[in-house]
Amino acid sequence: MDAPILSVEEVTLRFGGLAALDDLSLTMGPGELAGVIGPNGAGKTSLFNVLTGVARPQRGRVRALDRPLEGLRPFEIAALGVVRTFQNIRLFKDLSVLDNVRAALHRGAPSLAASLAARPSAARGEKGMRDRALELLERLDLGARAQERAGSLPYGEQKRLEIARALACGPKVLLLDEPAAGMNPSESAWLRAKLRSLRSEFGLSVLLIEHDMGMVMELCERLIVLDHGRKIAEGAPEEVRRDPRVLEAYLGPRRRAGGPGEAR
Amino acid sequence: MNGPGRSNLAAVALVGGCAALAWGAGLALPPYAASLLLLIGVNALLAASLNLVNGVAGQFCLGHAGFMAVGAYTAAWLGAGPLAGLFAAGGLPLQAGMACTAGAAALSAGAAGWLVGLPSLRLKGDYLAIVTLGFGEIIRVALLNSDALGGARGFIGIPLAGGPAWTFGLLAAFCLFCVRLGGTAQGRALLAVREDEIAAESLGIPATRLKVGAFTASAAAAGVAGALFAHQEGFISPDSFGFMKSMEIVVMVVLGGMGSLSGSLLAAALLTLLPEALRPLKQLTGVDLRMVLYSLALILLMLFRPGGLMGRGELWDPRGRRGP
Repeated sequence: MDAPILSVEEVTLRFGGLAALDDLSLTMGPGELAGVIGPNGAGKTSLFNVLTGVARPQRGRVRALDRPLEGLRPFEIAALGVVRTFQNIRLFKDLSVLDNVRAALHRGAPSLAASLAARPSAARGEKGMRDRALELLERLDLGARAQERAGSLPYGEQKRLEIARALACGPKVLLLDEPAAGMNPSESAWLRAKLRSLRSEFGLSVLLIEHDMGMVMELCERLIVLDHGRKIAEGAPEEVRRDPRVLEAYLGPRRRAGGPGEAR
Repeated sequence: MNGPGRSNLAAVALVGGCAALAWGAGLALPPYAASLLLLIGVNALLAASLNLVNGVAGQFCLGHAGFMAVGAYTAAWLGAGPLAGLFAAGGLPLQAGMACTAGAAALSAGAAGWLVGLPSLRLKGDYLAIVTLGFGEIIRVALLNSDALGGARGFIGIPLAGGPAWTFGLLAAFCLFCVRLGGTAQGRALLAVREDEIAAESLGIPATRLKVGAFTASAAAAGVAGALFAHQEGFISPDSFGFMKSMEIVVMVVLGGMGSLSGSLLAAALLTLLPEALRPLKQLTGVDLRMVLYSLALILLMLFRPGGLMGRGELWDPRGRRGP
C-alpha cells in the first residue's frame, strides 16, 4: 500500500468513564474507498469527530496528508483537505442552495477589502465561485434547485446538497456519515454510482459510515468494524461478513446464523 | 434583477434617504422636531450596528450601550479637552474636530469590542450575552466612579456638533457597508456561522475570526453613535448608557426582524417616535400611560409578527435571500 493519506494511531477518546474510542488504530491509502461499520454507539461518529478536530482525544495521534492534526482547529483541518458530512444533516437551512455551496468555497474567496471596494478582481472571483458552485450542484443533480431555500428541499436532496457542499471545500479525504440514511432504494442506488464516479473524478479517498449493508458491501474495498470504541475486525467486505467477532457484535453471542446484512 | 444590482440599488436608496433626512433637518425645523430626528439617526445607527452581531452573525450582545458609552466618553473627553480649540474655532476646524472625535470613538469602542469579543466569541453558545451584559455594567459603574469624567454628575460642556449631515452621513456609510457586506463571501460566511457554526467550521470557515471581526465593526459603529449623541446633547451621564439602553437597542433589532437592516432602521425610528407620539395622551388622561402602551404595542407586534416587522427580508428584497 502507498503511504497512508490518513492514519489514526492508538487513539483513545473518553467522555468521563465512557471510552468512545479505545486504543483505535487505522490507516487509509490514497484513493481508497473504505467503510466503517458497527452497532449503534460503537464510536463511528466519534471517530469522525476526532478526525475533523471537533473532539480532542486524550491519547494517540492522528495524521492526514503527512501532517499531524493535533492542535488544529476544525476549519484548519477542513482547509487541509479532510472534510466531512453529518449524520443529522447540518445545512445552512435559511440560506439558498447555491449559498450553501458558495459558503464552502470561502477559502478561495476574494478579500473583504477588494469586495467592498468592488474591484474587478473581486467581481471575477465572485463569478468564479458562483460558476464553481453551480457546476458542483449540477454534478449532484441539484442544478434546478440553486435558488431554493436549503431547508425546503426533500430529505434525499438535502443529503446530496451536503455532499456538494463538502466537495466545494476541495477535499482530498471525504468522510461521509451515513449518506444513504433515509434514502429510498433508487436514491441509494443513484448515490452508489455517484460516489464511485466522484471518487475518480476528484481523486478522493472516501471513508464511509453506513448502516445500509447492501451499499457498504457493494461499494467499499475494505471494511473496518468498530464495537465499543475498539476495532474488532478489518478486511474485505466478504471476509468481514463471515467474521465471528462481527456476528457476535451485531447479534450477540452464540448466534451463528446470518451476518451484519441480516442484522438490520 | 440580479443580486448585486439589487444591493447597489439598495445602497443608493439608503444614501439618498439619509441625505434627504439630513436635508430636511437642515431646513428650519422646530428645535424639538430637529432633535428628535437626530435621535432617530443615533438610534438607527445603534440598531443597525447591533443587527450586524445579533441578526447577521447570530451572536447575542446585551451590552451595546457599553460600547456606545466608550465612544461617547472618548468623544466628550477629546472634545472638551485636547481638541477644545478646534471646536471653539468653528467652521472647518470644528468639522475636523468632529471627524477626529468620531474616529477616536470608533477606534476606542472597536478596541473594547475586540477585547471583549476575542475570548468570549471563541466559545459557542450564550457566553457572549453574559460577558457583554457584564461589560455594559462594568463600563457604567466605572464611569459612575471616575471623577475625571464627571462621575454621577455627568460630563458637562461637550462642544455641540454632529448635526444632521454628520449623523445621517455616518449612518449612510455604515448602512452601505452592511449592504455591500451581504454580497461578499465574508458576509455569506457570517450567515453560515449564524445558521450552523459547527458545520461552517467543518467547511473551512474560520468562525471565530469572522465573529470577532463583525463584533468589532459593530462595537466601533456603536461608539460612533455614542460620539454623535454626546456632541448633540452637550451633556452625557452614565445613566444614559445603562442596561435599559442596551435592551432598547435589542428590542429595536428584534422588532425590526433579526438580520434585516431596513427592519432595524424602521424599528429604530418607530420606537424613538412612539413614546413621543404618546406624549399628548398624558395631558388627556392625566395618567402617564406611555410605558403601558409602549409595552402593549411591542406585545401585539410580537404576537402578530413574531419574526419582526421585516423578518429576514429587506424593503428592497422582501424574501430575504441575500442577508444583511
